Amino acid sequence: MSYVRRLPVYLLLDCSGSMSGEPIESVRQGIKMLVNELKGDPQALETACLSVITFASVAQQTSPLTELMLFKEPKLEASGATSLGGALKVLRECIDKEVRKTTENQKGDWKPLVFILTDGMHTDDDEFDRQTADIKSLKVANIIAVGAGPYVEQSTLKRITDNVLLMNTASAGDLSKFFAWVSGSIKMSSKSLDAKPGGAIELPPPPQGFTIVP
Amino acid sequence: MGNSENTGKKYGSLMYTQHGKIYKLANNPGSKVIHTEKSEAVLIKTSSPFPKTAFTKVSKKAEMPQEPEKSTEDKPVPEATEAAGLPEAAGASETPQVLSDWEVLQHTASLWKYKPVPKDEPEPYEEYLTESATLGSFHVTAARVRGKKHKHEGTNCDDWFETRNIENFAVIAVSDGAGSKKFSRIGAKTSCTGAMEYLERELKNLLRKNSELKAHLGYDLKDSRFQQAASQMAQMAQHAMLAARQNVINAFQARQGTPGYAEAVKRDLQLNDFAATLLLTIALPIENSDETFIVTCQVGDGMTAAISRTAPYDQIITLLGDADSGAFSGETEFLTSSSIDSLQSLMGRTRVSRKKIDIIMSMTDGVADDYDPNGKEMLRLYLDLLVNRVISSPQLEMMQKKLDKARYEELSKIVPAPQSYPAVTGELEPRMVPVQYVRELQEKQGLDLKKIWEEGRESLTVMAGAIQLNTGKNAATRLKEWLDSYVVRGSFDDRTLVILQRGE
Repeated sequence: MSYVRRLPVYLLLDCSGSMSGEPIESVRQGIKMLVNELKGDPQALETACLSVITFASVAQQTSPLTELMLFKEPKLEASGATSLGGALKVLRECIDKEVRKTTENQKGDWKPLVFILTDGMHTDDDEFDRQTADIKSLKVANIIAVGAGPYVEQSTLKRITDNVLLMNTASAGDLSKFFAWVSGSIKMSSKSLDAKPGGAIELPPPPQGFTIVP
Repeated sequence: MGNSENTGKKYGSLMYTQHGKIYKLANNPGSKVIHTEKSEAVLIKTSSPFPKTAFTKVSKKAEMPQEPEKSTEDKPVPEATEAAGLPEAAGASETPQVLSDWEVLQHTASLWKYKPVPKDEPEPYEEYLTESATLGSFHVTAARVRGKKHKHEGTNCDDWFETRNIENFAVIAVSDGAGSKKFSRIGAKTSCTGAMEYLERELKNLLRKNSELKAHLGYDLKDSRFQQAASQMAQMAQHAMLAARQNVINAFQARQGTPGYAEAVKRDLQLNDFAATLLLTIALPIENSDETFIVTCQVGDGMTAAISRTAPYDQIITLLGDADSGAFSGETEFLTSSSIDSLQSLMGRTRVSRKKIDIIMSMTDGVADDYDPNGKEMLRLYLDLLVNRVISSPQLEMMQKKLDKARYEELSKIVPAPQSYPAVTGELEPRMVPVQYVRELQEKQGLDLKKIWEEGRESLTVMAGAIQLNTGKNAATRLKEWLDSYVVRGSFDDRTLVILQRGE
């Protein structure tokens, strides 16, 4: 039986063809590191749970929302297109299904924390338009979108969220920094919750070489 | 949530509760007696039990992520499934296994570190505060402990409390500094002391000017003299809150430009570096009556609740506060917020109540959040205090004498045994501190709180019998030990609880 108010964390990861090779390997390593890091942190272990949604030609949830203690890295392969719109649709369905609402007898979960990592333009315009029509106003989650490399369009990511970060490349070094920062963000969020539902999240300053898009 | 529970009513237009009924004060503009049916209909809600189906047994043998030496008596020792002691993880795209809170806690228990309060920062605060004292006709038992989060990170405790006896009024102030603010502990302390200094002066003044005030507070609820006096006391509380706020502002200003402070936050100090909540309670036992007059005022989260042991089940708990986290706005109010600037702004946060009560408990959210929703769960807090022998109950003591040996032994087999977790105190060999959890009894026997309250006295007595450790220490030490030791998943905030017990 669980009475805890969880912090759901969703990672939306770009697994399109352009990520193949070093980038996708860095993402695999990054998730491994992220999970190892969090498994050593009692606050994160007691509050955070993690899910991975990948998007390529199709978007799918590769790891359902899982206790950190039970989380196992998903198998990631990179090929195909960039269904970012589809990923947002999956995210919405998952939040609806997995995140507990407050009821008379149960504490609801905290507002989910969502990290989106992509290295290029989405390829599913229609779905992307549908999903971004109200995603900002619904405020169902605190979303941070991170663009890697030269093919990312800031204005597109801005349609998803006001929190947009850019990193110069999708290199192993930058991706490793990204996951370290995600780890820090989850740790920070899991402790700053302090039973203040709905409060603005505080995240650590982004790593060097990352630009915050105003 | 606050309005749907058994609660001392808001002070928008002055209201109060008596015997679970809610009234408005007639001399307040536009006020009328609120019909009692409504409040009683609402009260019934507090007795609605947890759905039984929600309870599943804790133990799933092979999955327990636990190290053998952490095992407690009533749980089976699991076999580790991986070298790290972690259970087999869910494969991708499969439905994840579910862990119970207990299983997660077994795993995190050894990960919590203890780092002492930092010495190089300005104004380090004590690790613990305890107080055991007689305040007029009340006995106060209070403690504050540094949360596991702060111990883990080596940061200061941000909670504070003060208690005072002012001409037989028992006064409690409880405050929680904002977790994200560096000097919120100073805000917490100065808000408590500010309120106390104001009341020490002005409540005495008021009593000098109006020597009948105390007597009037005991008059019939419809008597205008009672209503006048209750109004004065409500305003007194509101003024004390504003004085507390001013004291925090003064503390902030006094530290601007003082070396060490700006350096610690790496910029100029701001008032919200001192952000803190404040829960103020003023209670007067009515002479020649078993009723107590209570006025409370609260800004920010936390809870104050009264217990009437002999009341019908749905009227045992009276919530005397409302954790106003602003529901949807996402703005947590603090005493330092710019919106808290006038008596008007405190009207909706003030409650007046007169009823027969045995205990008042005022606490920061570090405790209140572990007993959520408060309207039901404050009773579980009270029962947890009983079974851990923090406070004594005449009923349980009587039961202890009445229970014969055979029945005692029979019950010992079916009630939960204490659970022990290592104390996070930096000792080389951490003590294992046994704690009883009434929730365990609920889960183990599929009982709701009402059933336990009405029929579970024997079980509670036997549970309390298994807690031996702190006997011989004073109540405040026992409270401190309990606050420092009880374990709830996701609960690692500072914990402060002030208990006011009315003498026989």
